[in-house]
Amino acid sequence: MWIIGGVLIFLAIKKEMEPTLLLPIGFGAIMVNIPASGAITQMIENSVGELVPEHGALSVLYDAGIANELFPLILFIGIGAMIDFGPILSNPKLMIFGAAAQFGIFFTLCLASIFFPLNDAASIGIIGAADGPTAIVVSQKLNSQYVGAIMVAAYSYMALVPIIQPPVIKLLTTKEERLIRMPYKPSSVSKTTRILFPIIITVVTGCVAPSSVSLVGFLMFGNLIRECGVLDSLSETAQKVLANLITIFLGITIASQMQAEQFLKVDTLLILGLGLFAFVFDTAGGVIFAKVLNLFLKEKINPMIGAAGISAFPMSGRIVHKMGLKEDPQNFLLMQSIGVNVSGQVASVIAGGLILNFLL
Amino acid sequence: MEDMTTAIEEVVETASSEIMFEPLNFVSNLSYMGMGMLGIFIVIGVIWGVTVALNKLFSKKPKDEDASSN
Repeated sequence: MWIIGGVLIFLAIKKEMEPTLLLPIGFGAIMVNIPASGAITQMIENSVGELVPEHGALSVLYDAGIANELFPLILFIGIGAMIDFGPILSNPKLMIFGAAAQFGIFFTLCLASIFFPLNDAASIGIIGAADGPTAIVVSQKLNSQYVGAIMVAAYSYMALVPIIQPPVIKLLTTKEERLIRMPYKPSSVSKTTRILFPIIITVVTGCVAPSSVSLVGFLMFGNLIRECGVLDSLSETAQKVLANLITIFLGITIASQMQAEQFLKVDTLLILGLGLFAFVFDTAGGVIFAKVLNLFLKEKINPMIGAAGISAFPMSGRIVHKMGLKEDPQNFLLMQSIGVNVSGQVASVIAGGLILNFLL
Repeated sequence: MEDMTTAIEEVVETASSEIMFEPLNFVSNLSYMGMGMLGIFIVIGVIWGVTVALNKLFSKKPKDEDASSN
């Protein structure tokens, strides 16, 4: 486990792969795997020969913020404050690709259920949400015993999106399709729309999947702070200080689940494999959906933007844009791909909420 | 030598999984895939409709923009 911790730290620093999380997770993995580590709760013998718990800091933090899903929900406030829904509000039909790109979550749930009980299979499937807080909340609420492996898989693959997505996109599209241009026609979005959008999303999604109210609500609350225009200091605090603070605690606390006896199992390898599957099928789902839509549309859509519906924001959107430019230096897909990427963020949270609704 | 063998056996036992293999579960859980994807599309569809309605109701008109800039 020390080697695994070291590898995560190396990937964070040298390869700059999601350093905000992989570095604390890696270091935490080293800390908790030191024999009789005081960082986690240990049972020790007292003066009368009874075994009593000596509480470790990481175990206390885990109970305070992960076991009750508090840390990821607070992080969602920061993430919501960072998101600009403008591109998707000005072109709302792109939201449909965000929905299509969640296919990998459910397909992986079915596949994982061959090997794991349903609650663990669903928690593994949610790796495909490409969203750390959603993965933590869902796997915690479903009492999955693989939270540590799921977290490492989710954040590692989010960092590997630039490597995972392009080959899948190229395999599923023709050169002709990748050259399709999508002229951007900007339309302004009123401030009233920007303010009402997060409120309405919370109500609509909450009515459909009540278990998702905390997930969607905290995300949209962060966005409302950003868009209301009267809470600039809170918005800035949420985007920077709050998000960074929670990220520090989240990363190092998740590592408390990476003790060797829990992590070093064949199950972990299988989870890592299924997680990769989820990402691949998310990408495939979005691209294939766009190709099917093109059969019925006069004004064709570049099917690559379907791949941007994976919730790895903003990396996935930028990857699709770069792939478009590589094929045709005059083909600017950024606004469309970022719009789809943003809708994927919302859709992944909805997917998490639906899974909780089905299984709780 | 015997201690080493026992230690190795303990490590192998710890590392070996309790993974099941029930291929029919894939088929029986396809209903979750169907309901899940349908649910997401319905919710996103509703959000799309709401967004279009909001844009129509609250879109900035050129006259309003000129008036506010003056």
